Amino acid sequence: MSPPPRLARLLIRLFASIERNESYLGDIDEIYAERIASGGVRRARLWYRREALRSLPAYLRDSLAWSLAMLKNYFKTAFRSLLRHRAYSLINILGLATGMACALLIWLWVQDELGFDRFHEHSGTLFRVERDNGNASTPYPFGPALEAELPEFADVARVGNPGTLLVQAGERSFYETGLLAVDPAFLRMFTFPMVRGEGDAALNRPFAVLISWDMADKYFPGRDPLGQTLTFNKEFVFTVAGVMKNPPPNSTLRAHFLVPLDRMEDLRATRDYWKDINRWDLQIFQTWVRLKNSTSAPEVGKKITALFDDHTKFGRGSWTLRPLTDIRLAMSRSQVILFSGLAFFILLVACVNFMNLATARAANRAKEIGLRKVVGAFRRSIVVQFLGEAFLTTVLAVLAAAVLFVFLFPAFQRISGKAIGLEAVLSWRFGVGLSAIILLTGFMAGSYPALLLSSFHPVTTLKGRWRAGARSASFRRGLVVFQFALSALLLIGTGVISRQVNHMRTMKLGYDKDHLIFLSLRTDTAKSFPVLKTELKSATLVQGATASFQLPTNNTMKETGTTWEGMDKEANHYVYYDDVDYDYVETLGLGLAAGRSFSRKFVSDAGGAFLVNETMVKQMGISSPAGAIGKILTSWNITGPIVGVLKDYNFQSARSAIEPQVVSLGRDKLRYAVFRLTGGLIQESLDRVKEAWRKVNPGHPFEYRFFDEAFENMYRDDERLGTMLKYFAFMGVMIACLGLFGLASFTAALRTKEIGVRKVLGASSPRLALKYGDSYRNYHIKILGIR
Amino acid sequence: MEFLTKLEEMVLIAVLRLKDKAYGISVYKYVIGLTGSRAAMSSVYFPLERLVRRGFLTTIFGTSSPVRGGMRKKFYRLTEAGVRVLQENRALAEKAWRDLGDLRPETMED
Repeated sequence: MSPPPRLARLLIRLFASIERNESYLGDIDEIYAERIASGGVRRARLWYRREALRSLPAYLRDSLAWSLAMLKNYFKTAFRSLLRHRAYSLINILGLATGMACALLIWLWVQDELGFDRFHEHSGTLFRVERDNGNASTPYPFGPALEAELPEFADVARVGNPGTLLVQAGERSFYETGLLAVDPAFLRMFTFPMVRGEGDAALNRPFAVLISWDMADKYFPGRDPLGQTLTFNKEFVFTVAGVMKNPPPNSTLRAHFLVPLDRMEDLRATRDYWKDINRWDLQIFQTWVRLKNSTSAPEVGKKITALFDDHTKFGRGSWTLRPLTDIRLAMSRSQVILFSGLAFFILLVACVNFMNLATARAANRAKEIGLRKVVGAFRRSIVVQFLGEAFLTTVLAVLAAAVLFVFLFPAFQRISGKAIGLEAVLSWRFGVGLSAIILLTGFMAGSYPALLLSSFHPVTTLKGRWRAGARSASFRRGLVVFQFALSALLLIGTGVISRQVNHMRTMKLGYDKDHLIFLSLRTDTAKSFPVLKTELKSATLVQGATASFQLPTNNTMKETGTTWEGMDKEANHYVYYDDVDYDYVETLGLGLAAGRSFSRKFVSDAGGAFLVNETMVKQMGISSPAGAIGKILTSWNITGPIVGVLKDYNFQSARSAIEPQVVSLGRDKLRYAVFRLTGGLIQESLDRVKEAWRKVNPGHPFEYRFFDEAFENMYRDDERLGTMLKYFAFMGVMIACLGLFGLASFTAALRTKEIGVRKVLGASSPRLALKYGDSYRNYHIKILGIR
Repeated sequence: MEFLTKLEEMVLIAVLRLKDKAYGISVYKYVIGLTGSRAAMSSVYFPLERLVRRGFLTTIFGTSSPVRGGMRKKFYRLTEAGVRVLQENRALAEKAWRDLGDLRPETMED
């Protein structure tokens, strides 16, 4: 006999299973055999299939009706037990709610980090051309050469950043940093949509500028910005040709002003280099590409390396393509992992609370479970019931979490320093995250109690001989230990980070950062700087004045262009390079390990002389600082002897190791003026500098910043991280304490009689407190052990 | 009294008539033959089991055979309550229909 169709058989079985009607299975087989005999196998099978399908609606109706009925019952018992034990329910719900609110906030943060730069339509195929060490400076002719010689690119755009500029429109004048000089392709690659006026076509006109909505508002409030003019550095007049939407807060490219690429010639602080712009060793532009096929990136990188080596004869190191979306993540990846882990930990701690209280209170539910089993409940349905209860609690907790979230959100925005709008909460990603958190919490919290409670034996529970098993009690203890170990871990992590931040702030930098201010110099103010310096020479309140090309706290000029006698030509030597004015060493308070600082007494210093730091001496392979004095160095087109060795100082963030540095006198490249004020007379000395500045540079705003302030800013991210971690760790510990409190008060409640007897027999309250407190001391010992 | 659905009534009548041969297939075939409907086989099992639960039917398991895939037959038999509920429902139907004579379209009008 031919067997019935398999799938149909399955349906029939399913149907039979709800009534557990084995005779139905037999009956249907019997008719099936009958039908084969009378109408043939084919028709019989056809009938069987139809029969199976037709049983489906009835099955669904019936099983749904029953599960709904049971569900109603589950809800009823769940609510009853929640209401009967209000305190425990409150502890559970509060703990879970706090945990979830924290997890949601962290999720928002993580989502924002992961979403950086993803708003660009082509974000998946955009890459930045970089050296393998992450240096993204490329030469001017690089972009066009890439486009002409390699077929893999859909678009190539060069981006130049001229630094801080003085921008004026009528009466309004500000310093701006958000200006980019770009190829027209830039707007085709990146999604900075135009609100008004022209798009990329404007970038073919020499003096057109595209501005963001914010800037239109800032410079032309209440006026039509199109056709208006902006004056850059008091010299170059640009006509506004279009207005872009503001770059979103999670964009690494801050495009507030876009001008044609070649305007870099006018706008950059140092200008005489433009005649050399086609040289391949002059690298001041970033090159961005859009690949036709993003998977080809590694092999395109190799081709770029070959192309670069072809064009230059000095190709050192290889080139790679770094995805746009990776640029931010490369900096924050470890934080993203840290915070995701933190969110998970906090949730876990809250879930453990739930598990503990649910299993500890099992005695209350044992009879109910026994009875359910006696009247025919399967273990599975009891598991479903308790999981359902966990989910119910979770859902209630979500509501409480939503309230908490609303209260915590503004504080979170402030602490995280992120411009996360409430619209992030409405995105589908957030919805997915929320559901994931609910599911995870419900499942983590509910699975163990459900499995444990459903395993109770009905007879023992109903006879009243049931006692909480030693196994579940020790498991509970283990969970508490685990909870507190997690909390301890959080606290230790917080401590480490805050000490780290503290260390970075207070560590010896190698210079004296107090009472030091700096100002940006532009072309004309740079030219007049010597005048300003002379002006201040007589001012006793100003203890020092100098200037430099790079910000002394943040040197970013990493170059390969420095050579010295006896150098190993094959090796890769990167040095940090800076041009400074006289009195640099004295004003900053740097130490000298050997030699002297730049001095007007030595006329040759102006023609070419170098200061190097101790690390540079080591890189040159010289054993003592004194041995480096007099060695001849060539950097760019300057050749001269080393006249002094600086003690190592932090010219970058304290996070990075001290790198080799070369400093020369370059009075034509100065971009930052640095003044040392007198401590205790800050305002007076500041006024003195201001007065001189006004006199020498009329019309230029006096915008200064304190070193230590700028210095704090460098660690702002670390500090934010530390603060966030602190709050979240605090929450985690609070939740754990809440749980332990619940557990302890429950155990105490169980022992009411015992305590009563003890008191009757003369035990004093403090003694009892000591006795019961003792059992919890064990936990801490265990935690310390784990730690 | 307790009410029966039409299908339940038919099923009870089938069990009554089939006497000790009343099991899934025979009841199904009887109901199909009586009503002329081509309902799915599974449709008789819900009323059957419901009637068992309500105490109108009892079940006795018969023997199994290879053609039934080793599954036993489940025979149904009316209980006293089952007989009573049938009688009551029949009486109710007769009482309700008394004096109505032939149903003609015009009687529906007023």
